[in-house]
Amino acid sequence: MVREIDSAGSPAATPTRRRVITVLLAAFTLQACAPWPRDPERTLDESTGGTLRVGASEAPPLLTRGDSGAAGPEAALVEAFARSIDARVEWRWGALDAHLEALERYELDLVAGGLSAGSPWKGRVAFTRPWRQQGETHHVLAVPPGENGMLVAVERVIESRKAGEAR
Amino acid sequence: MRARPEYDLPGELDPVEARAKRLEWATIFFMLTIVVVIYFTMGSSQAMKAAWIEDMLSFVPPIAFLVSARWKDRPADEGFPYGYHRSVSIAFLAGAVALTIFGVFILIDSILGLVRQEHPTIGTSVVFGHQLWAGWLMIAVLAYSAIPPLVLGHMKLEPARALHDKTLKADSDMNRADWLTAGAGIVGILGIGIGWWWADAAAAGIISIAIVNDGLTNLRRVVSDLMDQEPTTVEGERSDVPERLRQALNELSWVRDVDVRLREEGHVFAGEAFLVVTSTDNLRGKLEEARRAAYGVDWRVRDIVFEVDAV
Repeated sequence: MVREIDSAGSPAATPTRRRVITVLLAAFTLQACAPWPRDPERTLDESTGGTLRVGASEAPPLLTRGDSGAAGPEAALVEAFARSIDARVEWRWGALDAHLEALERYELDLVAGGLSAGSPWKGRVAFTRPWRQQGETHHVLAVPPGENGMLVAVERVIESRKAGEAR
Repeated sequence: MRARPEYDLPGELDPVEARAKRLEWATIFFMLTIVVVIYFTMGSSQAMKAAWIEDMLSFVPPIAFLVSARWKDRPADEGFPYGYHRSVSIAFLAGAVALTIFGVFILIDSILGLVRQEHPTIGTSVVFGHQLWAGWLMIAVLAYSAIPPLVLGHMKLEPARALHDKTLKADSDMNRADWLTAGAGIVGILGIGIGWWWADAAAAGIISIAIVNDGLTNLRRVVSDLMDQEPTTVEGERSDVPERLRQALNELSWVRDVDVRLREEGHVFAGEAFLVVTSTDNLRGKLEEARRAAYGVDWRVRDIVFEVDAV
């Protein structure tokens, strides 16, 4: 297949093929105008200006369950992210594994609970860049798998907060 | 056992061979840089992984060429009376088999990815203090990976024809088709960017088909060589050398009838000539004449064994 195209030079574009290419390019251009990268399952779009469904597991001292919602540095990070997309956090408390399974099915938008970058869940859900390092442990948040727009948005907040702490 | 005589390229081809060697060293250098940058940017993209494996395997022809360039100067000896040319074909066979198997493996992998609806994850990277989507880095790396093979592949085409070197020709073919791999990879990453999760696995599938195609083409070529196929040009067409050899021998006044049987060994053609002579007087002088006529046909004709029959 490769060699045929190679030896024949540029394949002559038939009118039909040209139309197909035009339609594909148009679709691509339309899509590309939107924020980049985009989520296949629209996680970021649906939480922006609405509710951020966060699966939370207590992980003292990073994340604890207080009288008025969540407390600790991980809770502060999640709240900061929610503010950046104009969303309200809906804390759902439970076991970490159950949360990650729900995240894999796109039933949650974010999971927080002292996850570390070395967790075996890496690969089944999307881990963010580390937001805190304690000794050898890199702490991360988790977003639904392949939701790259969401991932990039969370990582931007993580990096800007790191830069703020360093100052 | 009597080892066959040494062989040398004709003097005017020495600079061409030197140039081919430089091109192959340049290929190895640039492929190393490509393999390193792809490795550090590939993340979880299947298309990048496929492109990486194809680039890894494009080391095989340059290395085979350079090894053969060194070994073909090694004379045949009693242990290996036919010389060491075949070692190159065996290296090439191994490379072609590896290429095909890897290609099939990636094809299955990408089909499974589509069936399981795996959504590839690409986050951000921080480069020189700037945070950007890692997909842009991947696209830049893939674009870089397309350029050196394309340029070097075209530069190798002429030396491959002049030297009648099929390893070099196979290498040039693979290099010149390499931009398709990079292009498919870039489309796959752009697809992820606009939210088409399947684009990455689809691109990996297309790349793997190109790899399998490369592998099978090379496999066919090298198996034909090892099976002592009739001599062919580097383009795979029947060579006119056997017919020219037959005619040259037929023109000798004392030859009544002649036939030849040739096979390819690396750059050169070797084999037998069957002469029917009018008389066996001064046979030694006649054979010397025949040998001169045969080796004058083409620089590739070497080590012809004569069988003589009198009417």
